[in-house]
Amino acid sequence: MSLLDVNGVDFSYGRGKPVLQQVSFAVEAGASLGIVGESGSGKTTLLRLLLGLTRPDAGTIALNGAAIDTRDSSFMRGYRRQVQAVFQDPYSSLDPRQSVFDIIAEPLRSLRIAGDHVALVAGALDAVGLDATSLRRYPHQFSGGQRQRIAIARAIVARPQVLLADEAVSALDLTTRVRIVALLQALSKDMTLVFVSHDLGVVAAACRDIVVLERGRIVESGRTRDVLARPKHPYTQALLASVPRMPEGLS
Amino acid sequence: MSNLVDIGNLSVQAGNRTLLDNVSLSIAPGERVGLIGESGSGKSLTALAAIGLLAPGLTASGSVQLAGQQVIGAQDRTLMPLRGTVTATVFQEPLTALDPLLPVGRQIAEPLRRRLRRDGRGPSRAELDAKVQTLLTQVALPDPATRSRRYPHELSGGQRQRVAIAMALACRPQLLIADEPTTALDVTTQAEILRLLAKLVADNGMALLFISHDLPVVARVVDRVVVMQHGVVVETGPVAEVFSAPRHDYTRSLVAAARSFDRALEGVA
Repeated sequence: MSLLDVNGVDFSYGRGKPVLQQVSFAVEAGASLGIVGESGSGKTTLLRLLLGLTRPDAGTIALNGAAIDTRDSSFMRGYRRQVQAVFQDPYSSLDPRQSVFDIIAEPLRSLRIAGDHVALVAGALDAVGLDATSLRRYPHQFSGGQRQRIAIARAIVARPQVLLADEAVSALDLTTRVRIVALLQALSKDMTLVFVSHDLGVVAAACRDIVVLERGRIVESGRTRDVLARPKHPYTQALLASVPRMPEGLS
Repeated sequence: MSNLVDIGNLSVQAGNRTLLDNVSLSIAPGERVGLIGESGSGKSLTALAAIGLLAPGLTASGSVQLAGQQVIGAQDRTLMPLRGTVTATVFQEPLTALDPLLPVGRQIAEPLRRRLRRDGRGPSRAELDAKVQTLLTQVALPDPATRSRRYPHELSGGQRQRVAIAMALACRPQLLIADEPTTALDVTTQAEILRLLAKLVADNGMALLFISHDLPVVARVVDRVVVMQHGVVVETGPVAEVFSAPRHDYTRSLVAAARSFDRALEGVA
């Protein structure tokens, strides 16, 4: 049994055309998986399903063998404790009126987690590389990269088994992006990372495994290293060939 | 031949804050220049200053010459004709740059009509239509006859950016300013738009000022780069030289970051 099992998932909005078709993959505990695709590939819909925000039309998503049932609120509370997310825009994902402490402690409150919240928040803050003086401050006092660290601290404070990252570094500057990818990589040693992104370079840097989505279907999957070294599907090949690279050095 | 753009010791202030500090930059006819740096480095502001579009609250000192005309302190009336004849700009997000209520063909016809009037010709409807089709063909919009009647929301992001480029071309500018023109696009679409821009610039003998935070993207379309940090130009030189032997610490950190993702793709990270 894998930690996360996505099995034969179909989805469409209303009677629209299918957004996801027969999507199946498994994530082992402690692995890191990148889900790559362009606009219209269905990656955002897949993420909504993984978060339990919508139900698949067919197929199941299971955590530790238990299928998500979005109508079962006590199950969903347990599920949310185990599956937390970091989103793309660090400017809109943090409540500007809450202090950093309140933002990071929010999952502990809403999931009714017992224990020493002050110590848990301090631990999460330390894990993302921010110092304790940050706790009394407000989001607008931080840069984009620091805000994303706050969002990551909020996602890991309840010690989830799975961290979902939705384009979590796309809005960041290049040098900041490198540091946040390194942070996610370091965190993925203690939890399972599922990284949804359009950016192959970022996924290559952060994830051991990769799933390539094209128009709602998985066209290729495997170890990131193998897939990128020998892409088999024409879409993966086109995607890889389109990524601009630095010019070869003069020396 | 004199430079299209000559920026000398340009400083821009917002109250007590210095946004640009002693920026100098020149672009010769036909030259392709990349302006790189992270958010807040002042790259877009430099481009806006070059075409005299600084926000009213900002104060500028130094010199900005656009085709020999001093921009700083000039009336909008003096600058209006230069925007379009000398420069045209393509922005990051084509959906906000286009009018949602007009079919795209008519949006291209507008700057086209102005240019033809400027050249002393009042074009007929048929002539305008034909020229719009030619422009849409130049930017490789598939099925231009049908698509010119479409509204922006009916086109994909890449197709919208092609329309925005066609609008810029309609002005026949000597300098095309492209501000992060591919940042909002998918990577396969980005590759197509970059190829298109490179071809159009070469075919029309235009100069290009390409603004981006993405180093490998810039490397595809320019000859020379200008690196900005916190409103200051920290390094400038031929793109191959700057990217392979960066001299300034900041450029070094940018190049190292870009190369780290390249290495990850090669599987050697």
